[in-house]
Amino acid sequence: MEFKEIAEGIPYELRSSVMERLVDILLRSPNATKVPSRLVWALLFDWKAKRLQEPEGLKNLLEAAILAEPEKTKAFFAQEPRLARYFKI
Amino acid sequence: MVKFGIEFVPNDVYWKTVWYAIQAEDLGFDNLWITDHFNNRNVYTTLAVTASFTERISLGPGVTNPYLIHPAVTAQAIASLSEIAPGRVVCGIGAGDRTTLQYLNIYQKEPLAAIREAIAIIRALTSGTSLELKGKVFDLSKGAKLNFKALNPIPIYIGAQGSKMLMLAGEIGDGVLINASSPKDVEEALLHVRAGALKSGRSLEDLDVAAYTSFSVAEDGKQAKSAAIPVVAFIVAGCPSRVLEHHGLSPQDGDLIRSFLSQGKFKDAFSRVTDEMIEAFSISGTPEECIEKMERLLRIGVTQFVVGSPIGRNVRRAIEIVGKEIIPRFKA
Repeated sequence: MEFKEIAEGIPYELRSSVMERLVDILLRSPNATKVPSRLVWALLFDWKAKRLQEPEGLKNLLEAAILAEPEKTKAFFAQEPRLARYFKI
Repeated sequence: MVKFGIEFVPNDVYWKTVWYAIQAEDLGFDNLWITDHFNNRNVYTTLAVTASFTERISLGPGVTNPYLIHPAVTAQAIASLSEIAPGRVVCGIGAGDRTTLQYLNIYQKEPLAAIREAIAIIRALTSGTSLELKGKVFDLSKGAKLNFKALNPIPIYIGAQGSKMLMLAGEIGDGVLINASSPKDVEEALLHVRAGALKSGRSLEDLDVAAYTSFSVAEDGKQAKSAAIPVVAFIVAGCPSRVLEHHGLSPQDGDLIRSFLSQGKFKDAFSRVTDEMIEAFSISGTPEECIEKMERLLRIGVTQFVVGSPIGRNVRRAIEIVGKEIIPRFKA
C-alpha cells in the first residue's frame, strides 16, 4: 500500500492522534537525518500551515516516520486495531 | 506585561529546532534564543531557517561571544538575518562558555573590554557606519564597514552572571540576560544591573531584564526535576564558590562535579547533583510548581522569562504545557 492510500484511508476521527504519535516518533528519533530535505521542507510547511492531518500532510509525516524509525512506526500502526490492516506485521 | 522567551540548543538536526520554534510561536512565546557553541549546529544557519518558518517571534543568538566569532562577523550575520526577519532580530552576547571554548584553546581575554568593544563594533556596523577602533581586544584601526546595513536597529542583550558584566549590561545593553534561576540570585544581579544603568543616566526600566533560566516542566514533577540534572550539573560546575555558598552548597561538591565533567565522566557528575542544587539552579517541577517560582521572579523586576534548557524531558510536550498552562497565567 502506498503512503498516500494509507493516509487517505485513516479515519478522520483518528487523524489527530495518528499525527501526534508520528510527530512524537520523528522528534524523538536520533535518525532524523535519514529524512531527505525535500520531505523535511514539505513537513515544515505542512506543520506551519496546520495541515498535517490532511491526507497530503499525513502522507509526508508517515513517509518521514518510516524513513527515520521504521520499526517504531510499524509497531504503532500494528497496535491500533483500526490501523493495523495498513501494516501487516 | 512580561515577555516569554525560549532557548533552544541546536544539538540535533536543524528541522527539529524549527519545528519547536513554530510551536513556540503558535503558543505565544515572544522571543527565541539559539545557543552558540562550536560543537553544536551553527547558530546562524539555525536562525536563518527558523526565521524563514516563523512570522512574529523575535529571534537571535542567546548568546554568541566575541572570541569564537569576531564581532564584525556577528554584525554581518545579524544584519543579514534582519533581511530574512525584519524587525524581529535580537542579539545576545556574552563572554562565552569556558568549558567548550577551552577545547579550541580559546581563553576569554579581558571579557569586559571584549564585550564593550564588541557591542560598539556590532552597533556601528549594523547601522551601516564605518568604525575605527583600537581597543584592548579588537583592532579595527584601519576602519571597517559592512556594505549594507540591518533593516532595523537590533537590540543587544548582554548575557551575564558576574557583577561587573551585569553592571556593563546595565550601562550599555538594551537588555540583560541574567544567567540565573533563583530569585535570590536574580535579586542580587539586579542590584548590579541597576548600578550600571545609573552610570549611563538610565534606569532599570530602560532595559529588558530577562531571567535566563534552566527550566524543566512536566505533569510529573519528579520527572521534570530529573530531566534538569544534566544542565544543573554544568551550571554547578561553572559556578564560583561564593555563589554555591550563597545557596548553602559546598564548593567541594562543585569541584567534584567539574572534575567529573572535564574527564567526560558524565554519569558520575550527574549522580552528584542534589535536590538542593536543582532547587537553586533551575525552575523545575509541575506547572504549578514552576508558576510559583516564576511569580517570585517577576515580583522582583524580571520583564522577560526565558524558558531555558532542558525545557522538559519531552520538549514538545513541555512547550505545550508552558504555552497552554503557564503563559496564560501571566498574560491573561
